[in-house]
Amino acid sequence: MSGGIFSSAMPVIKGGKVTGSLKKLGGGDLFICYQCGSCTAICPVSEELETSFRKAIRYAQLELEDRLLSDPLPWLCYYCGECTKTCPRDAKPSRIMDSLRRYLISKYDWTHIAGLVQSSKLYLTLANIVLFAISLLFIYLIHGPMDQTKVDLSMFLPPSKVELMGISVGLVSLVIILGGLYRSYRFIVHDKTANSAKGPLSSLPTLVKYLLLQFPMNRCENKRRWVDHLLIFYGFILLGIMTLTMFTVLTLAPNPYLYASLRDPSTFLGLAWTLLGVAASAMILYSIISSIVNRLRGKDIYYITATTHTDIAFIIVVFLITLTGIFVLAFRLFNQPILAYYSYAIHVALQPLLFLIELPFSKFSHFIYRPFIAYFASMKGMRIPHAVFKKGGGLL
Amino acid sequence: MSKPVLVLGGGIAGIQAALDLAEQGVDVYLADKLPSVGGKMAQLDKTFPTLDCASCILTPKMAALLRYPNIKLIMCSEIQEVGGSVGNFSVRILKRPTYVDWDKCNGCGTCVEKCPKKVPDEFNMGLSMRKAIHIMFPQAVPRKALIDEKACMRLNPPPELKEKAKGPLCGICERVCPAKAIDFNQKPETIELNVAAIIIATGMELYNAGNIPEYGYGKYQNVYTHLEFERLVSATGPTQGEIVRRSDGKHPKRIAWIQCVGSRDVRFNSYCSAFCCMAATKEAILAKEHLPDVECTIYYMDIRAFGKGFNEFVERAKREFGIRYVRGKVVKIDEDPKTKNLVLTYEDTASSYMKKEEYDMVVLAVAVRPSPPPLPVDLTADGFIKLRDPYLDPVSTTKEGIFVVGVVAGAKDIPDSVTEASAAAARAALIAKGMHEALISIPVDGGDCHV
Repeated sequence: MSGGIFSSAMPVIKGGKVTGSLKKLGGGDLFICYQCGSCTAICPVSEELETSFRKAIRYAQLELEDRLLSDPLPWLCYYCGECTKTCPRDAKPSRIMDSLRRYLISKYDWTHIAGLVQSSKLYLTLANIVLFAISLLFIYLIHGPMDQTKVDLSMFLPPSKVELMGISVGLVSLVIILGGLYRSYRFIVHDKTANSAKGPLSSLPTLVKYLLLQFPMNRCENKRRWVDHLLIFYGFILLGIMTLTMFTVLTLAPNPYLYASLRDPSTFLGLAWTLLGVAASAMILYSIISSIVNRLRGKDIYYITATTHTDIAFIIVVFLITLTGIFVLAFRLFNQPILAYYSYAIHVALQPLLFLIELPFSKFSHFIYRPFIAYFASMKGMRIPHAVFKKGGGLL
Repeated sequence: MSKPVLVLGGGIAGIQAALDLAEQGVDVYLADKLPSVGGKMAQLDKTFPTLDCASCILTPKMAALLRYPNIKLIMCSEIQEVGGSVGNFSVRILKRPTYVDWDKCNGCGTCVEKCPKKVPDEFNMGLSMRKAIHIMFPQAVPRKALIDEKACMRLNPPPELKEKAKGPLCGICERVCPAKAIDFNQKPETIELNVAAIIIATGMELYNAGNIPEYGYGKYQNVYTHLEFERLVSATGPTQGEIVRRSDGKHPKRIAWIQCVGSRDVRFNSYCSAFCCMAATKEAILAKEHLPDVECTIYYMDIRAFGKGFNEFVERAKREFGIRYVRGKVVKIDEDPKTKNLVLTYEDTASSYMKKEEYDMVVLAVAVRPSPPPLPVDLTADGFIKLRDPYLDPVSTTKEGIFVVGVVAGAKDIPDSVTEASAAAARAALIAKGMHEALISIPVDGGDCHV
């Protein structure tokens, strides 16, 4: 407002440790907030909470790092944007929540890499490019002969070597993620304000609900985003199960006959297996395309919320992995050996990006942290949303 | 020897400016778009922080206008064009027809009694009906009748009746008027004035609460604005001070006031409307006085009780009257379709809980919107009239010789408006008497400040 001296001037406050980080993560409107509580009151998950979203913003304004770290609240927000529509100060609370989540990811991460990739486009891009180059180099070094007459992927890239790469990538990823989870557990459960703790077993339903149903995202007005999240989640789960099955029949409990029939689309089992893979890819692809289209159309929530560089990187990586996977299948079916080998090389070389950057440090990590932090909050004895079905039997 | 001064707007600020000018021997034209002076203050029941009766302190000032021969009231008028400069403004004013010869009308009210046509009464915020020919309110100054040309069956006959009737319709007022003052042939009149200075005191309108869908104003019957509640609680109001619900005419047991409705909200108006905190406190106390068992709750974000005795007033409301203050912005109101009760959703920021609470009646502290006249002065981005120098010349507009007082310059309460009116009157009188050249002009931009 250009109301001369009577305009409501924004306070000029230099960022401290917390607010400085949040500003870099897109939560720069933090100080406009005058603590009216509109965001809490409009939020579809607030009713079952014993705390408020406004409080998290207050903690940040006051630089109360310990309070923020022990607060699972940002993880219960699914960025539906109702608060941003309602905010009388246009402080964009949903964006502050998003920046808080990314701030927490960088605090949970013990390698300190998350902080870099979350706050810097450059670091994230560089990390992706360098890792992709290393993977390609590795594939170039290990690749075997390329059969020009028919597509033979196991001759081009020996499964034992791909498995070795997969296992090492998986182990590193697991160590980083487990470290992050342990730290978040310490921050939340071992916080002095905890009063009535519950056992890890009795809190298990919370974990299941938050993980398998992507709960409480179904509370958001826009159910489409929830469906998209479910699709991509189960697409990944399906592909994960398929990969483990392949690993089992190939290496853990070798069964050459089963392996061969799974690989051959002309058999019934092979066809079913291929179709299952196609279905999983389609689920992921649909969700990714839906998120791109909605962002480009600028409709609804995507219009009022911000797309960060971590979102874009995740979308690109997953889109390319899925696309190259489909290419490999198509070139195999239409017998285009050279194209199949190149697609396969890129497809495999992209995987480490997902498991060494996206999963532990960037966008993909929220899929791990959300359910587990809800689980920890439940262990701590905090009241968090639990009723999948709303009172009165309404749809979820 | 002095030239006249034009005061635009006959609210408390305009009245005060006109009286102060007249007292100094300056001729004053006081123009208002309505048929009576009094403005918004005339609609109020009591005033904060002393709970003085608004009419009791305003009416003597309104009546005083009539005692000064050098004050000329131009009612039912609107400004059309202003030219010239300080000391010599030429002003064209359009005077709408009242269809009653005010020189003859003695305000006896016989016509009002006999008029068959009823329409919602704007003075009572539509909470009651008035006749097509009416006197604006009992204490109106000047106390003269006028015909609402849209409502009058003679001036604006309903088409279906017009076809059947042979001659002109109705005309009862014309027959019953003992002073023979009714004149259906009155035409709009243009008045040309030459004045030395102009004081803008055109005040404000309430922001349209219907623009804020989450509060359901206009849709939920028991949601009121401050001004509606003032009329409801006023002894001269539609219910003679009986606080009853629009839906069922019953006394409410729980009333909520919601502050900052359309103010301090970038979606609507980002400024503070200044008087609502005190007005809500006053209204809650009045509700308690009228209905001792009623529970009053005020939802606020900050209580801005900055004036003399204001904070004490709020403390008294809490201590003596048991008014409950809850800090938190109400995000939505839902109506129970059966009981027509209202459920408020908000965060109680003291406990950090999201809460829902049910009320029988809700009063919205709707934001003020300035109503500036079409004059060659600058406005600020939020629509208020821009001040020449908000520190050292707070009643001057960007055009020399045109002054501004009251809410049209910025949201404020009655005492501040009156203070400004007296200040502007003093400044305008100097111009009217040709003495303003002697004033030391103060540089607006701070001049050659070397500190």
